[in-house]
Amino acid sequence: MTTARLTVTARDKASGSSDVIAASFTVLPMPAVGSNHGSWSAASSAAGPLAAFRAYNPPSTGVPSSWPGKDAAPVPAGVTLPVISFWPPDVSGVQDIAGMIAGKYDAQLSAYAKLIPAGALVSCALEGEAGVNPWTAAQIKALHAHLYPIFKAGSPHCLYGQIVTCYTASKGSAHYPLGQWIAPGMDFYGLDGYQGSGGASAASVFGAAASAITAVQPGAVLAVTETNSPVQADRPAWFAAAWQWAIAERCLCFCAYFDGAGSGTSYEWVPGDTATISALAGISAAAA
Amino acid sequence: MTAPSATAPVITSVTLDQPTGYTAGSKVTMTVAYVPGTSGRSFTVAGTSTDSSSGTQAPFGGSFTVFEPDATTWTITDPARTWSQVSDSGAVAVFTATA
Repeated sequence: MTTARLTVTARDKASGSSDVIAASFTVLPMPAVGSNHGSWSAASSAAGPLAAFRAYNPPSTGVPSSWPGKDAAPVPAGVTLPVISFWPPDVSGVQDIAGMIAGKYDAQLSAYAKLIPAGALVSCALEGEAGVNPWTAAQIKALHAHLYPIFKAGSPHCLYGQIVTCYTASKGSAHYPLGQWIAPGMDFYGLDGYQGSGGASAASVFGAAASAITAVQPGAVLAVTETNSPVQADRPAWFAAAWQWAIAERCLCFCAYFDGAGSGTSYEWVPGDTATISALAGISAAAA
Repeated sequence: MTAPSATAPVITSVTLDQPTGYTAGSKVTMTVAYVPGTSGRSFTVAGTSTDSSSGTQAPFGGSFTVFEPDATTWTITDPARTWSQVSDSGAVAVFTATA
């Protein structure tokens, strides 16, 4: 964020006498544009350079013992905004969220927090509120409430937040409404939002989730932590619309998500998709 | 007669259309309210009054000043961007720039 300063001078044409007044306004930073770990290199080479890096530590890692965590490493050179997540440790096939809330992993969490650079975004249990997870809203809120002060104590200038899927803000979700899952007081709220089959707009997908979040946490700082369209032909328009929403909402980042090239999934990175690459390149350039 | 003194313009307010800030590349609209400077023009009047019965005459006279608003020129000093003047009504001037 920068402050633009200017002076306005009104001069009388006849006498030359004048009055001067100072003014200023704030120029807000653009969202940092990025992609997920698996496709970051390809996306950054084709449409970057990308400034944000979304990476994941799996449940088997538990609390990482290094930054950003062995499965999320390395943070590519030139990245200014790492967005890193991890999970409650996997104990006998069950993620030990209860143990994490109870303080069983506080020492590891504190040690990990001390490794986090200023400005980095970090979160636990991404999309933890989603219907595929077995947890309760009380557990999710308690998890974030417990972890937040640990991370702020270890790295006061990192940003600890909660990442949700926008789908929970739709009535089709078994865990709707999203608001019941939102932990207040986080530094940021990450939104994983995808074009659905119903033709919903980017503004409505992200907007519904944002409304649910800001109802709990007015003035919440938002971030687009994953986005894509399963319809390849729609991707350029989807990314463009989502980007405009992210700008308007002053999001911290705008991270596309792609599965690896050749994966055959609905979200795979397609090296020859010049329309999508061009759209992302334009977004990246606008943010630079 | 001493020339009436001119007044300088006075800027009364500067308002930007997005008080919470601008994203880089977006349009900034600035509205400046002001009172224009004035210049005075002096006039004298003289006449004779005549008593209709006696025919006695006496002179009378005086002077007055008319102040009129002057045109105003504008300078926006901003090291980071160029401002364009959109309008000037004589009381409100509007400018735009790119954040």
